[in-house]
Amino acid sequence: MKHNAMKEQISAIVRDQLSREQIDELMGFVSQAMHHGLDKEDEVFFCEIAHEMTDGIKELALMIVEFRKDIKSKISPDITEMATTHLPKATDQLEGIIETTEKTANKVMDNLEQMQTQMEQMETLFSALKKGEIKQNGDEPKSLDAEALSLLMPVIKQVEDGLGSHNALISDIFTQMSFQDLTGQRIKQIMNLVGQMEQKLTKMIISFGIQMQEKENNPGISKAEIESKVDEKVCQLAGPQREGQGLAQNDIDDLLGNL
Amino acid sequence: MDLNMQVLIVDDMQTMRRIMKNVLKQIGFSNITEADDGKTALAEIKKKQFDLVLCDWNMPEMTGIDLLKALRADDAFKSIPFVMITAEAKKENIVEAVKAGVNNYIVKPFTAETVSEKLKKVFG
Repeated sequence: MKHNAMKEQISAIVRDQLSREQIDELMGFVSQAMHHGLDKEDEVFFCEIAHEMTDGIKELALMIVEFRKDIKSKISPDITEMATTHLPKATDQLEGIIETTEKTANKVMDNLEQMQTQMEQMETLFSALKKGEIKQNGDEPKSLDAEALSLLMPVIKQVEDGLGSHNALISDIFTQMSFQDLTGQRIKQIMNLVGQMEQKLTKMIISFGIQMQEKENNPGISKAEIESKVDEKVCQLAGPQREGQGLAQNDIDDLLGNL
Repeated sequence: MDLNMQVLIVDDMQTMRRIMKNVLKQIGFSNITEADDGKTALAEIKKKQFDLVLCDWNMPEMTGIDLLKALRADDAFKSIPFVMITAEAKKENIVEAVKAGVNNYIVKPFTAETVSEKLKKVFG
């Protein structure tokens, strides 16, 4: 009889139906149950243990009661902020970095290609000059006399060497632009990770919110039933939404907002 | 090495395709086609004959390694020279590519000289 009463009272704590006085009464009852049937020699020792246990159980019971009363403020607002604002913003920022670096790399390559074209034109001119021809603007080439050509040769050679060296530098700068691809790949890996974190965190918060909602709407609902409803709702969120099924965006926003 | 050969560059990053194209032009190639992932590349290969494929590893839709395996599994395309150009430098990646039938493997970042040297090795 006494065990059944104890069981009922403990259930009542979980269902948030006991006041502070009633909890004190329950603890007294537990203490009595510990005392009942002990030998006189052990009485002091077991009294002290019983006292410790009752204090501990009382503290736990009160914690559960208080926690249930003010659950919303117990969840760190930072977590929901992280899931709904900071993580999506982080992904956007990273995407922005890829776009900016791609744009800049393309602009640099545009300039480099122009330089390469101009270098090729200069190489053609100097190649013709070495043969004693002056080519200009598509006009008929004019001839250079041998004496003038021999005077110009060292200069032509120096310019050609310079052009070759510049070409090599331009080619090198071009291949260095691959930094954009390499950094982009690393950033995409981070974005995947952030995206996964965002998903998991949002699912956790939604799952928790649904559990609280179901319990409030239906206090007698079992844990298994709640878990089944959570699974159903989370699956709906994960897959494509069919008309009339699943949580609408507003519902999700409200749920997250309430948490 | 015939510089008039038809070359297919495959990479999901547009900047990378541009760099590869520039490098190939410096070497002397002029017939260059681009694809932005393995699936598009496979479609291009089925439309037109290519003499060389230069391909990245990590791409959406179809990765470079999957494209390589698909080509090697098809009698019509199994002999196409295929060079992987990728940031994936782990030993297991290289082993996987070799087992799948890659002709050569270039790690990013690369230089024009490296590409030229590797292609000469492929074509002898």
